[in-house]
Amino acid sequence: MKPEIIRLLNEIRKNSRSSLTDLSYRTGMPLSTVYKRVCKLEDSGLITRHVALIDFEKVGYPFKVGVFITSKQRKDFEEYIKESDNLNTLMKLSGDYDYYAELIFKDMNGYQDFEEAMKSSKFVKKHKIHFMSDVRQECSEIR
Amino acid sequence: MKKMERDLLILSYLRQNARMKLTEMSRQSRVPVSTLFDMIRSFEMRGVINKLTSLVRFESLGYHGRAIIVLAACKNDRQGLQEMLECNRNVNSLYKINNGWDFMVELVFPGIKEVEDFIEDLEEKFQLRDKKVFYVVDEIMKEKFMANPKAFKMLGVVV
Repeated sequence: MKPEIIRLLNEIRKNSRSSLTDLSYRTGMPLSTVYKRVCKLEDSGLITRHVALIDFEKVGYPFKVGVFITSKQRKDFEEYIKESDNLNTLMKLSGDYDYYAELIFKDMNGYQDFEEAMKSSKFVKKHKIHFMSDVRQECSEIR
Repeated sequence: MKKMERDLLILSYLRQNARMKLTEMSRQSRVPVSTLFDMIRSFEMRGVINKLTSLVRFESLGYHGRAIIVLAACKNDRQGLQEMLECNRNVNSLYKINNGWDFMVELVFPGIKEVEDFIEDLEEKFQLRDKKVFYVVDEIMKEKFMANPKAFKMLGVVV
C-alpha cells in the first residue's frame, strides 16, 4: 500500500471527523485525491465504519464486561448472542475459548440477568466474565 | 425530547457514522445544525466522546496476527507494564480488568510470530504472574452498542 494511503488511514483513525481540507494538509495530498481515496477505502470495505468511541459510564451505562465463551453449537450461539441489545463487540477466537463478546449494561440488574442467562443457556459450555475499564481504544498505528 | 434522550440520539448517529454531515444529522434528528455543532464539541470537551475514529479491516492491510491477551502482573510491575502497553504501536486497545487479572490487550501484528515475539519480550521485561493468549479468527461485530438511531426513534425519543 502506498505510504500516502497509510498516512491517510492513520490520520483518519486519529479523528474521523477531520475535514477533507485538514486531511489534505496532513497527508500532503490534493483535496480531490483525499476525497476519492476516502471513498475508495470505504467502498472497498477496508474502512468498515467511522465510529465515535464513547465513555458509556458518562451517559448512564457504567458496566462494561468482556466475556470469553466456549459454545456447544457455534452458529446457534452466534445468533443467540447477536440478539442481545447490550452486545458491543463479538469476535471468533481460537484456543481455550470460541468467542469473545463485549457487552454494556445500564445497571447491575441487567448484568445479573445476562450472567444468569449465560449459566443456563443451552448454547454455552463455559464462560468467564471480566469487568473492564477503558485505557485506550483503536490506537494501533498502521505501517 | 429530554436532554439526555437527545444526547443519546445524537451519540447514536455518531456511533453509526462518525463522519455524518451535520446537515444530514439535523435533517434526521430535527435538531438544528448549530445545536449539533455545540453538542458534539461539548461531548468531546466533557470526555463523553473519547475518540472519533475509523474501524479498519486489519487483515486487508496485511495484519494477520490479531490476538487478545489477558495479563496478570506482579504489583511492582503493573504501572510500568501499563505505560509500555500504552506506547506500543501494535496495541490496538487496552483495558483494565478484574477477576484475578490486570489487563486485557488487543494486539495487531503482521503475523503470529510477531505476536509471540511481543509476548516473549513482555515476559523478559516484566514479572508476569500469568498470561493467556487468544488468537482472533474473525471479527464478527465491533462497536455496535448504541449504534442504531432507529432504535431510539422506535422508543419514541424523537419529537
